[in-house]
Amino acid sequence: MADPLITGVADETVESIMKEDGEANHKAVDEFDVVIVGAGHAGATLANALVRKKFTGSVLLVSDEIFQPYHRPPLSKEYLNTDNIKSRPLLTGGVLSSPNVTFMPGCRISAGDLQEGTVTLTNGAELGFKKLVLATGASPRKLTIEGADLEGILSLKTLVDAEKIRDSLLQTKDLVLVGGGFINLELACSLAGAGRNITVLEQTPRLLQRAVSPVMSEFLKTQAEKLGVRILLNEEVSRFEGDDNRISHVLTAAGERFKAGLAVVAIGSVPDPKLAQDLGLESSNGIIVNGQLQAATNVYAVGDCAFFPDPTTGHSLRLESVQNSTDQASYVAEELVGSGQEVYHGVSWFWSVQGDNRLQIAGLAKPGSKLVVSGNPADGNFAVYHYLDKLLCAVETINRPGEHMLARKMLKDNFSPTEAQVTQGVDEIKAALASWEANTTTL
Amino acid sequence: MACATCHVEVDETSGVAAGQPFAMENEMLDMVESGRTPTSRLSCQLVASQELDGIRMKVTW
Repeated sequence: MADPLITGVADETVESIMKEDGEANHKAVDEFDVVIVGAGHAGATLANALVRKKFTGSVLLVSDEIFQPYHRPPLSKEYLNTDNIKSRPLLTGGVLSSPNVTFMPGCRISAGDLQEGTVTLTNGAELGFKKLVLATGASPRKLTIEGADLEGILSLKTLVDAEKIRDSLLQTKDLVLVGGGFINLELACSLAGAGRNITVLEQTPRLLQRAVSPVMSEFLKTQAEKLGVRILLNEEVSRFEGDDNRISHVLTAAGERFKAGLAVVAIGSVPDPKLAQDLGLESSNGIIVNGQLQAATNVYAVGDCAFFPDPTTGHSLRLESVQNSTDQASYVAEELVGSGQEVYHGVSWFWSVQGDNRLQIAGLAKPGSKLVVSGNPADGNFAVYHYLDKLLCAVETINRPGEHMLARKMLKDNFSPTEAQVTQGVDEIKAALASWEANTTTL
Repeated sequence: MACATCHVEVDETSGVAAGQPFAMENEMLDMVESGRTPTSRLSCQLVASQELDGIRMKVTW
């Protein structure tokens, strides 16, 4: 591992806890005011926010990885292409060395008793908590088809995954990327060139079907193809073939056979359903929480693992994004320091970098929405506005960061520009928003 | 650069300035939640260098 970021501090904590536990032979040796399980963007942001808000209680941050928290988005982009590999730490400015923060790497929750306020970790430690925050994320969905356990079939979530992909790239030029979602499109564009044969196999009729409009799907496909990436739609992978226990080919239901020295399977991710069960919490598509992001009176769930109510629609949903993770973590930090708040209400936004194109999405695209395009996709600079009954619900932009920011503001303020204003351009939209704001404040 | 959550206001009274924002950064700064100031920058776009030694910035969130 080129940039380990491994901490030595927490190991001692683990040892001392285990030792005490063994000697005393009773439970809850260590009590924490807040136990955060998971140190991805949600968990780490929460720890950071508590320190910044001068939370005086004790905080334990548990991670199932051996590294200090790091930024995940670069792993599908520049991280794979940089010679001088550096993972980017999420927590800087001494958060992990704050006197009331303990970081415990390399373990997961194995059981818990919410009434007692205790959790048991896979390293044997039993801990007491006043508040438990589950920030356990989601894991890549696996293909359960023949050959799926061959070497060289990888997924991408962690630094270790990215390392494995880097290692494989030294051995092969034949890459088959299973799934045409964000991760594989970012990978394809980052790795294109260098004599590599890259094929993306997508099962549905278009790329990113659940996330973006058809015009955006088509644009991103064309752009990746310009970089030399082969994209095949309506292709279902049926089997992996191996040679000496290592992947050699990917086979499709239609009977195609693609040579592959590396296959990356990125077909969505799912939260661990067992955790909620073990803790006696309700789950559906994630851990069910209320508007305050509580799964029980003393338990919160945030980030990719949380199934939370959307105040605008009344329906619950689960989101996988940095914004959702950090906004929910900040909300819970505020709850934990004791200030009363309205229910959680985030304005969703997402981004993706594919080659030279920066895609940004504000809001949530909904099925059946009406689309209005501003600009021309052929120019590599355009926006797609989504309307549901004349109400703006999402805006996709390509290489228009200012318009993306404007879209976030409009969605936050519940302002919908007219179609005419949208097609006339940003200045017209800004003027309309300004006059609407002036009217609203005088009312 | 995607989120503009690292918006800072450079305090030029320290005698150190961070210079002008780049084109895309400029567009995003126009729309930052906390409101743009004449010395606003996105700190992710500032590259640490000798020239920035002693810089003072106000974090806006």
